[in-house]
Amino acid sequence: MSDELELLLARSPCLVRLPPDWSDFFEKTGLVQGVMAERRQFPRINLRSRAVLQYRQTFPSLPRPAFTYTVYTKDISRSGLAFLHGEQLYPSEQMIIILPDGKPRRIEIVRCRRIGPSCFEIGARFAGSVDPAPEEADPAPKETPT
Amino acid sequence: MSGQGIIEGKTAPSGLVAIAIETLLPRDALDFDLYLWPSADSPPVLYREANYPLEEADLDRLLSQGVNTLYIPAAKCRSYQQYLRKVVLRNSRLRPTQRFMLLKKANRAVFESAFRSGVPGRMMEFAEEFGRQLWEVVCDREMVLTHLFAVMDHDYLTYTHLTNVCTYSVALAHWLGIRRPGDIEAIAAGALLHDYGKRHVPPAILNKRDRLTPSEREIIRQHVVAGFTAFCSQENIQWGQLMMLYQHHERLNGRGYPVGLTGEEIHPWAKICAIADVFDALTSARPYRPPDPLEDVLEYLQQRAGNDFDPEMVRCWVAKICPTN
Repeated sequence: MSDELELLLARSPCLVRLPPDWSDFFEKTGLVQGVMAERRQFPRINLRSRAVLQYRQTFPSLPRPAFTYTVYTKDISRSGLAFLHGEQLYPSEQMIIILPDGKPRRIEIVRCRRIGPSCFEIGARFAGSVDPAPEEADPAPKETPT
Repeated sequence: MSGQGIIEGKTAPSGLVAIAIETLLPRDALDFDLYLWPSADSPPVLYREANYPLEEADLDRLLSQGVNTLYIPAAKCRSYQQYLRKVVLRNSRLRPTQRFMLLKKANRAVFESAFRSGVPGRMMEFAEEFGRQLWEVVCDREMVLTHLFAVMDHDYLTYTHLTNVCTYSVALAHWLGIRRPGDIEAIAAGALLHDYGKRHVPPAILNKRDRLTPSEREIIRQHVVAGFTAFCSQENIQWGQLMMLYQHHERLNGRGYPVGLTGEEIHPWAKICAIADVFDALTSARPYRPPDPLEDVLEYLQQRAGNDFDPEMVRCWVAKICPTN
């Protein structure tokens, strides 16, 4: 992980509260198994790390200030990824995620599932590359947004 | 009022929508052309250009010839809806329940045209105007909710279900004390759109009488996402309305879908729609079962208040729809 990304992570608040029974969240590695895994087009690999999510304005009726947040990546494949965030995100929302390799990627939210208070599992597909400077977006305020 | 603007066994010519002659008043200048369609074998013909009023003699002649339906361009549906609102609500001889029934019947063809078009913008326009109409009728101080329930249709056709949920949502919102200008009409429009995503569910699954398989259940559950994504980019839709489409199957205890939200995470407008949706589903006849008795349905809601449904909203609904309960 680059120093630049580490700096961005440090500046971007993390809203995620892992449920108590997910204390081993960051230990999982390898291929994702299970019924859903068999249906996927591409294999999914556990990628338990931190990433930076940059909000983008998508819907006219939902204001999204261009803040950044630290999220927990869960798994990844060639077509998309899953990650944990402390807020609900909505299908078709467009955002940018900066993964541990430091490369920003455009994503489109596909699904959202509540795991617990301030813990949502977000499924997203990759929607093309992007070349913003990470400092274009502001880190979110330190107070937890309502 | 006879006729509902739909001719049995005939499909309206492309680009035209059927309207009932009884909804037209003499000497009113209409800003849309009127067409006659004498038979399925011949093309429609222009009967009266826009802004040339019909006379009483014209209407009498048409009716005496057995013509109950005229046609208007689909692009003029909104103008027709606005005209309907003026005509029906202006008619002081009608009681609120009669105005309600007339508005529902008169709007049916316009709804069908908008719904089938697959164009979210057209559906949104219809929903906005219908919402305004309904708000004025349901919130009339003479309107008694128990009387309204007695005259509702209880089949489970799409139009009936959507307009029923729309009506119940408006009534519940009104009785909950929602008074901010525009909110009630917005709730009405959102309720009318709440099942829009079911357009993409195969009818064989929607109408299946036997138990659904897990994959069929998942297909149906996707309708809330489909409805949300159809309208999320619209400029003229409010967030609360989008949440009615997206969250009306969420439940307070987190056992709903698509997200599994709990309590205050669910938008209040979605909570209203959830109660209206379930109430209509249980009080309507399905091909495979008759409607449940009203008192059983109210008991069902009360048993689930606090777990599935907002308890204050359930209390309000039960008290209003069945004052003796």
